Amino acid sequence: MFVLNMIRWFVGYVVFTVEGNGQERFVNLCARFGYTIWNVRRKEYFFVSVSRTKYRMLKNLAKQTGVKIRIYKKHGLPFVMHKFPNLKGMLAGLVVFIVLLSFLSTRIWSIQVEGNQKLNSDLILLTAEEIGLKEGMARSKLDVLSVQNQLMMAYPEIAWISLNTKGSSVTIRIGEKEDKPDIWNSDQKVMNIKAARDGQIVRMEVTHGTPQVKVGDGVAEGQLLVSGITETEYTNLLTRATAKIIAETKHTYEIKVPLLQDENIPTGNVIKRRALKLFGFTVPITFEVEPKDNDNLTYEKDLAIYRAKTNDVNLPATVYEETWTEYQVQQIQLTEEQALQKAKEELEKQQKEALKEDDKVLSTDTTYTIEKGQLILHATSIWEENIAQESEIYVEQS
Amino acid sequence: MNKAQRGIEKRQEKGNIRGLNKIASVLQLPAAVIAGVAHMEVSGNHEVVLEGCGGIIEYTDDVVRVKTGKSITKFSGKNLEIKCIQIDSLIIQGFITAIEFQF
Repeated sequence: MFVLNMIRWFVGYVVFTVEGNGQERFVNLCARFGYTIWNVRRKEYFFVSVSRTKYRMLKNLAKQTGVKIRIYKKHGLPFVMHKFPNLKGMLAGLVVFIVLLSFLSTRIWSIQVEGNQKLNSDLILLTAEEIGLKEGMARSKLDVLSVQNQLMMAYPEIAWISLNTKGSSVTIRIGEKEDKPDIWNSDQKVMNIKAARDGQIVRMEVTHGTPQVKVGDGVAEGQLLVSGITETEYTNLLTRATAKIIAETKHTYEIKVPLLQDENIPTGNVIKRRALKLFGFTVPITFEVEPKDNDNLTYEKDLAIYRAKTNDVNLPATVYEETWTEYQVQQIQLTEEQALQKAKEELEKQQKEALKEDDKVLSTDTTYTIEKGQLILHATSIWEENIAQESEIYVEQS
Repeated sequence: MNKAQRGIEKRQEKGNIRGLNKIASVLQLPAAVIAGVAHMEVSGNHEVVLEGCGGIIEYTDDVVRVKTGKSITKFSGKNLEIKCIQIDSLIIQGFITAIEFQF
């Protein structure tokens, strides 16, 4: 019924009244002459509906039967259109709308990333764009398998990936790899523990294997500390020796800091470049030219991406903001204190990088000299560190 | 045409219809198909689709009388409305309380 009413509305119909004697006869004649009429209601007059084009033809029948027919109401698209003088413009607008709608529905407008926990969505989207999956591209040109493979290759952290297209939106669903749990001796290797460097043993925590040294012993690099072979009365047991051998060790450093240095000093100039990407087209909002490094000035770029979203769905509107910070290269003559400070900072940095979980620095002695325009810092540190290092014993299986 | 002739024609028509009805029952076909009698489809008491109607005789809110072949079918009820009418069919909607056949 809804479809029928819609067709009637598109064609246009007239509700008219039938007055006078012989209303039933008029209705009968309408039917007999093939004019389909509907919604015949009896109030004070007959209210009858008929299609717009057939109403005129009914006038003759009305004359024959001696009834008066009058239009009560007009319904439908043709009457609505009649109200608007710029019909052509409206029609053109309608055509443009339909064409635009059908064109836009063949493109991809929204790209989502789901399932990522450690990986950044924006980075994945940028990579996808480089690969060829971008807003505004034709849906038919999307090679799902190729994009999936290339994204997998670009991010080894991805365990699985699936590209789901639904209408004009694409969802990149990914699953990240999880680290393998550390299972002790899963490969059933036989290992000794040897000393990673020279030192004096302070503490030992042996969980597997036979200790070959004791607390207080001085050891040299490569010396056997814990053996993977345990001798019993009857046989030799082969195992993977595990132990923490904490020893006091000595580390020496030599750090050179030139007194005359090139340093990048921010000039305070910050250039912001913004671009709006709308429906796949990038339009610059600011007219700043991309700055380029020269002899004196260098620039550092920082990119921020602002995506338009609704209900966590990316819309095809993104603002890219590049912040270029300007630095001037200046030669600075460091004072002795400043150079020493820098050298100490560098020393601290190097030590931090080298320190492992159980390690700590007990003491550091430093001396410095100034030679040929540079400060040379000599440092000797005493560490307390785990010097246990696994060394495999190759056993032939018989 | 005098009364006698009309009487003869009526008897012939009656005879024809009876004959066609018999054929329809032998062939196990609906009588409406062969005999050309009106066919009515009633949905609850709110809609009647009538095929083979010969025209509306009376139409008010409470009564719709329709010519169906040699008889007149009367639909009584409340708020009766002719939803659609075509050459030989019509749809009546409303609260139908009775359907009567008048000869």
